[in-house]
Amino acid sequence: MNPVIELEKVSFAYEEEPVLEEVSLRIYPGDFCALIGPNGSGKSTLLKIVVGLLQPRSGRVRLFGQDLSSFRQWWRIGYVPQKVTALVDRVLPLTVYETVALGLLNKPMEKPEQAQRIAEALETVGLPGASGRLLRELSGGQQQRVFLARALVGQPEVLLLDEPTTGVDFAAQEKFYDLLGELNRRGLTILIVTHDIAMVDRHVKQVACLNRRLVFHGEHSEFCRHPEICGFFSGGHHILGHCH
Amino acid sequence: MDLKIYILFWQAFLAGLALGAASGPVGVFLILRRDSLLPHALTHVAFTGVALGFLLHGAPLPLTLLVTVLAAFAVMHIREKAGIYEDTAVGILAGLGLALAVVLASLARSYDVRLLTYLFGNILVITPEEAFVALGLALLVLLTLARFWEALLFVSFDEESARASGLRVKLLKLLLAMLTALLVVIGMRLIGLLLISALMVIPGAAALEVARSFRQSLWFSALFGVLSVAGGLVLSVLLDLPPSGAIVLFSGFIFLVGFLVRRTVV
Repeated sequence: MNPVIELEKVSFAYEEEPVLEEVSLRIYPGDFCALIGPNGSGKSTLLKIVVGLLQPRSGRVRLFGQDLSSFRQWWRIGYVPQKVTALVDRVLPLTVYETVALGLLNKPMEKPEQAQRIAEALETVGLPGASGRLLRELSGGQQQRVFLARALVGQPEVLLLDEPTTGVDFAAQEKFYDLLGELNRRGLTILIVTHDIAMVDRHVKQVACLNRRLVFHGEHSEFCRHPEICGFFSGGHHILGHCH
Repeated sequence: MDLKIYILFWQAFLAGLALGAASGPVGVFLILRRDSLLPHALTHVAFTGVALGFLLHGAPLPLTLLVTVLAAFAVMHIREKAGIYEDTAVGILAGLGLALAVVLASLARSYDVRLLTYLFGNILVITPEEAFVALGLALLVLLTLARFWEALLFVSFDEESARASGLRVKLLKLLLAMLTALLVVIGMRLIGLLLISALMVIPGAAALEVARSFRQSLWFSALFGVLSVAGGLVLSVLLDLPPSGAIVLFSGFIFLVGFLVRRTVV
């Protein structure tokens, strides 16, 4: 099976400050991989490199077997950036429908088909009938799901999420990860940057630990068998409690 | 009324309405990008174009169009590459633009009423050619917005995701800066360089107060721009006021109504 995302010895630095050093990582179809690590370990940077927002200093990135520099099929990838709810302010009268429709800009289609797709995406994230509501009037958890719908509406094969549940309460987080698990079971490949170790323990299949370098990448069960890594990356105890 | 004057009036009136309709929606995007001062800076640079036109004894309109569009490019480049705050870039551009205009106007010995017509505008005395050009350019802005409004929304609202989705974000930002530059040039004879930025920002702000969707905010902003021009012209004729001042004051009245409606109804 060919990897959908492939990083080969990728290094990156902000000016002279190295952030990633020779990171090699392969994500395969059907993976549900959590990218974890301490603050400043390069998790978000890595995700931004994968979607072309940052250029690596060295190394290669391939998406669906194509070099990133020549990759144009962006509809195959859904992306939910960090702190999206911070974008929603009380001035902007953006409806849920208009927000989700932005996810179809790189995939032009007729209006009825577009409406159908948006309705399906909202149904998937558990917000049927919310299309006419204003984004600013929804809760943080609901807004988070609208942005997930925007990433899903183009029916991508890979979903990339950068700390999607920051600032969202525990119940909403649990619901969000349940939904990601369901999407993964339907065949969607997911790579998620997260600090929610408890959620990682309960929901994901693979774990990649980053601390400038890739320290570990493998099945979640394997991760639990390395208490020194597991303890360091989970802040000590949470995940160990769940793993054992 | 003499037929010729009657035709002239309607040409100017239509050009003004088209300017109002195009200014409001562009203003909505500028507000959304926290870039409401960009047209203000471009008006200062446009003044340089006018002064240059006088100095070279050429037509100010094409020269101003060229200078203002180049300035829009420059401000984009400075923001992307120079690593300085956006409002600092706008402040530098505005200051330098005005300083250069003052020097050029002095060299051209054109500190007279001609210069004032560009600063304060007068929609009722523009030539048929100017009305025709203004109408054409305003329609061009509207057609461009009709084609690209969703992409501009994506870039203005969530630039990171827009880039990750493969949109050509730099080009879209440049497009918005160029549309702003075009409106500044169209507006300098109709409303005047000192007031055209207000006609972009105030109807847009009023629309954002009352709209219940982004699409609605674009329609409302165009409507409020048109109403501002129409209402201002009626006021100026009835009360013998300067048209540009009356137009902007009328747009301020519309904003006040929108502001109060939102806080009363919602």
